[in-house]
Amino acid sequence: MLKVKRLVLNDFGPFKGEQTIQFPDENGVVIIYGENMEGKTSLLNALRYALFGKVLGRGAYPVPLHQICNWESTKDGRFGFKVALAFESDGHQYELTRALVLKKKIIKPDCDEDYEQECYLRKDGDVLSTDQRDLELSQVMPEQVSRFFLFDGELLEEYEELLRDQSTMGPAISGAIERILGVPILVNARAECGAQLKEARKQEAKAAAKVESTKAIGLALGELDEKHKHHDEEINRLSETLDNLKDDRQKKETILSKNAYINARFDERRKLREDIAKLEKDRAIQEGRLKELMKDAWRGMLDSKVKELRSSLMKEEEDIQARVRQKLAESEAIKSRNEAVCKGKCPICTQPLSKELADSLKRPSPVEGSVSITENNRELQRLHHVLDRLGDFMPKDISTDLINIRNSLDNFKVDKSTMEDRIQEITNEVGTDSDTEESIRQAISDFARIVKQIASIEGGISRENEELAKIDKNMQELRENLSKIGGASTARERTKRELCDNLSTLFSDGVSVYRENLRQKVEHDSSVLFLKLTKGMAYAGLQINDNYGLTIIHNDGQEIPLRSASAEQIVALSLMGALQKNAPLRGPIIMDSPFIRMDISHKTNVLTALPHMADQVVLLVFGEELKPQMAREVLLGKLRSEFKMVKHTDRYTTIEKSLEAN
Amino acid sequence: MVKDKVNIGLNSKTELIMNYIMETGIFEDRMDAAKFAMAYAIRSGAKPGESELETGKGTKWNIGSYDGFEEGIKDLILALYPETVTPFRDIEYFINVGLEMIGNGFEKNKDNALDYLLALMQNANKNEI
Repeated sequence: MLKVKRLVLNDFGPFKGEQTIQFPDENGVVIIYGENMEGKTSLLNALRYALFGKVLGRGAYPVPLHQICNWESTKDGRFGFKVALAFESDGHQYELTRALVLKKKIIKPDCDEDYEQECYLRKDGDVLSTDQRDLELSQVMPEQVSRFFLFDGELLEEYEELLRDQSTMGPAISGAIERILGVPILVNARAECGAQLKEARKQEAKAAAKVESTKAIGLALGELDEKHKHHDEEINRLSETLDNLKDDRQKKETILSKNAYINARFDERRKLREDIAKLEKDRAIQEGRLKELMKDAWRGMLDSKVKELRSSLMKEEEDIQARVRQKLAESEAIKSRNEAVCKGKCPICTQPLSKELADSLKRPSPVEGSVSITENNRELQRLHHVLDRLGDFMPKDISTDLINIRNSLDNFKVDKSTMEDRIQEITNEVGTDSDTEESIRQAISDFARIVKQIASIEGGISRENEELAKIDKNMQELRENLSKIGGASTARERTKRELCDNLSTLFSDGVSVYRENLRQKVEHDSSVLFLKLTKGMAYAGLQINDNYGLTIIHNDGQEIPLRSASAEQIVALSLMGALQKNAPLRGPIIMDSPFIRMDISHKTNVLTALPHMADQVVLLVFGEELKPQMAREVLLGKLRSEFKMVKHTDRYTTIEKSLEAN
Repeated sequence: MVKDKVNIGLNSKTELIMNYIMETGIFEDRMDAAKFAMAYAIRSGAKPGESELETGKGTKWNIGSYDGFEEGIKDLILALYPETVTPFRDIEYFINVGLEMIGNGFEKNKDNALDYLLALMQNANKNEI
């Protein structure tokens, strides 16, 4: 159990000069208050630097160390910094000092290469050698599990990755979880047994090859063993490549996730520009249609006028035709009359005409001499001509089409304006940096390439494993034969091989059983803590998956698929508590800004639970995030010390023990 | 006998109005806008030769080469106004009168020119004398 006793800072970040924080000996909670930009994250980084020689920025990126030198000190000509951490672990007293020191002959440093690091570890008063120091530190606080001791509350959300099957960060976190839980001890033992087993098999084959009766089997086993070795080597090579690719993928994913928001805006802007171009294209089509329609607009306007005229002309035509028919009938009558007068008898009844009748018929009819048929026909021809002329006039009602086009064009205007406004908003927000856009695009393309390569390598490993399985099967058959006919000459090697075999199986099974037990314990303990942290809510607990991802279970047994950032923090804290309880390796919990997203009731619950999660808890918070009065009322005697950061200038903060401290 | 026109043209005022109309991009070419104006004038009840119009040095369309006003329009004018003997002169008259009518409200409606022209088309009947 590691316990921090004292931290001495010298020109580290905003902490100018030498400043000391003396942590209380008693178990409990220490709160360090500091407003934003005053140095909370720097303090967490000071601890990280002392233990691991690293400083991490936002997004867990390593920060160049020369940038951590106190700016005011460097202006005064004091370059570099030093952090000394005094701690206790398993009854031993340690003093770890790490410093960034300016190299000789460098006057104006501007990069990490201008400095060198110095690190000393004193154990119970004795300075350890470099190897002993590294070994000791790796045992007391391995860097791989540091995430469970030193963490930024804002990054607790990353534990949600454990619930995603395709996550790249998830396996890294679950690996760290297994590490803190001690799983690698068994896994390493299993691997050692596996190596011993291989050697025993090799020796058995060699022994068999020396005896005539089993020579063939021995040689075949030796040959298969060579093949096995070859495939093993290939799998190792591929696995190494795969690990590197996965590292690359995680790096790219981190870049993408860091830039996810900006990238989403770039994508949105690109899409909007494409949409506008499409809109312009559609508008051009509609405008083309409009112009086409407007060619005939004049016809539409004259439609009723032409119809009216046509109808009147047709009526006139009918009248003339009636007049012509009548004229023809009259002509026929005159012709008969003239014939009767000429012949002196009726052309129908052949009766002779009386003198009076003949005289009367000789007088001209009143219709004779009126408009002639020829004239009527001429009039008809004129009418036909006019009607023919109108016949070419094809009116078109285009108003409906025009209204539709007008509506479309109006919509285009509105849509385009909305899109342009949004583009402007995005540009105001993320700028017009085409280099950034290009680098994100490159990262996306690299990511896709790496994912493809990973799939290919995994396929290769899978094929190699299939080959290995075949070889293993053949070797197993040969060994069975050897057992039958080998007799005393290979008995010693066989016994050794069988022992290794059994041990290997035992450790393989042990790993599975241990993992399963751990999962159950972590699920139980995290559920108990989760229920404490969410007191009063309708939850039944947490359910663990193979990756140690935790799902919230409602009282009705249903899983809660979506959860808020604060719920995510509560779940992550529950996991932290469970890991602390079940891990062979324990230490302090040092958290930066853990309460930002929590409401008062959750803050109260978390504060109440904190002293039970670890013996030593250090909180780095700002006043609004956690009111000192509230912390004191909830923690009571468990609150051991309060410190306050006092900002003197942008680059100068001091850490002072609060007057109100217990 | 009155001689008909060989070229149809716009006067300085209607030339200006034509320019405004063409700026809206609603018509493909000036001929389409001219026909629209002509129809609007006819539909609004204008009668040929009501007044003399001076045409300027602006747009002119040649009648003889049939590069613009098809024979159909001349026939239509002759059908609508059988007493006329100068259909092309009438066409010119209607175009200029129509453009003036359109131009009266164009300035204040230029941002919604299509709506304005649509309204003219729909209201033409009401204006008919």
